[in-house]
Amino acid sequence: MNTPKKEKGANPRIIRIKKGQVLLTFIFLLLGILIAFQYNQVTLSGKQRSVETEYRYDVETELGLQEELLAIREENRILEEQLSLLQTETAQMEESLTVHKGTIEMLYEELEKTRMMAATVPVTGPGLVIVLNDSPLAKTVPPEEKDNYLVHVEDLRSVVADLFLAGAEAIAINGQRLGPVSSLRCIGPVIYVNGKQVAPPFKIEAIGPSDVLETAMNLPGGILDVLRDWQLEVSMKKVDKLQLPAMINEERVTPNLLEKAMEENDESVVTETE
Amino acid sequence: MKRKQLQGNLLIFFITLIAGMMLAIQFQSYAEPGYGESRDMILNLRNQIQEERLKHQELRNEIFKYQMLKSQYERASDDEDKISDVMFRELEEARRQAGLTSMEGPGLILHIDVPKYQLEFNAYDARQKVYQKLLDNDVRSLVDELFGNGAKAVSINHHRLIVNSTIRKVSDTIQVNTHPIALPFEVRVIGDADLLLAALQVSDIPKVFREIGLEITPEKKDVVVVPQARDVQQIQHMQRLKESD
Repeated sequence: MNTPKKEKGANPRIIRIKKGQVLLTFIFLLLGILIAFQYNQVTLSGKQRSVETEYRYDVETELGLQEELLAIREENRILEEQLSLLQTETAQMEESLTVHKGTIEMLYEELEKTRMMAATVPVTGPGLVIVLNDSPLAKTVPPEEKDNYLVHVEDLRSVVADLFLAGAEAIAINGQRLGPVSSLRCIGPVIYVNGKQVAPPFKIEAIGPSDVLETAMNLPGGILDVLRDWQLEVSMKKVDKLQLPAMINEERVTPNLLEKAMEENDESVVTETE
Repeated sequence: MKRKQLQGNLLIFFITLIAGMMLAIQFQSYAEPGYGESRDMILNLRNQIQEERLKHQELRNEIFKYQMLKSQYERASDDEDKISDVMFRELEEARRQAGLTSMEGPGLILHIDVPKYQLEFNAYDARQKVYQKLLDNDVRSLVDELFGNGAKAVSINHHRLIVNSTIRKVSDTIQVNTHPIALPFEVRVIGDADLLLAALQVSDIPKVFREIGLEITPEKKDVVVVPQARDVQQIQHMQRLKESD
């Protein structure tokens, strides 16, 4: 009942207000944009400056670190060569010592076996090579589904466990031999084997009865089947002769053994190590 | 009337001010450059150098050990007793490394069980319920976290973990080295207790176990005895690689 009356009275007022306020609206909109730009500019330039200095500093240290890394890698490579030479030398000596039959021969055989179990010497033999790689779909699917199409550390653990259960005697992942204190870990986006970074494709080499290993890994419903279901790239190949490196791990020389040896050949060793 | 107009103007003033700011921020929000990678690179490089340093030390130790062994053999020359003496000691060392001997040292004992208050009512049921939910991967990630942080020997319920040890779930039971294990678990670890504990705490392992319904109670010990491996690996297919090329 009252509404038409109100509208009649209100209409001219609205129009009048609009004239002034449209202008105001634009002015204030502009003012707002100006303030925000100004604020952003000030904070951004401050941030950028600090980032830039940090960045410059980073480039220098980065180069330094890179050089350091290369140097120590080269040193390690030389040491590795030296070690493998020494290993073959002692192995030859031990073998030649087996001319003394009886206890020494038996001891030598046992020693070689135990060393292989401790993964302290490189080994060779027939076996199976499994290569796992992320699915090509990982690049196309939306990021939240991406995880499903990548090889995870859990998958590697499962494959390794199944291989050992099927009778594998020695396993290496991307050239990292698995030993008694090996670990497979996932830190952030990277997988570490024995504390060393490895990246896909993962090449799992296993020495053992290759036929048995192959059938065991091919069992329907096995881990490889599951991985194939997720469209991961899985390939498997029997190999007649695999070569796996030794695992080098810390704390190899037990203190008491060191002392004993030091007592026995005090000076001769010292001159040799120099 | 005038007051109302003033109010209306003020309202428009604020609304448009905010709208303007929003617009401006919208324009600039994607202009931020990404410089984060360089820092990651440096951390990455530092880690790599750390790794190589460690490897350096390990290699030096190893070389030293072999040099000693070699000179010991040389000294023993043709004396059979001396040779077998050296070899025997070397064998003992290899057995220790392979986990074929029991080991003693400072470390940790992790007691893994359902929380105490659940045990009071019906311990068997409480454990059984949780045990079903536990996966082999959970136990494996725990073990790998320990080894990855310098554990020298680990056993689960007296099953020593060696090179070819497996932890696997076979039809609802967790098997370690093909032997089924039941709750409560006792994980014995030789290593730096503080380091291991710190590493465990920052990892998501306690969280995962808690979600399943298991509590990990660590106990630091001066002497932990880890038993030797029971099932010794049969070696038929691998041989020592003599010529390294």
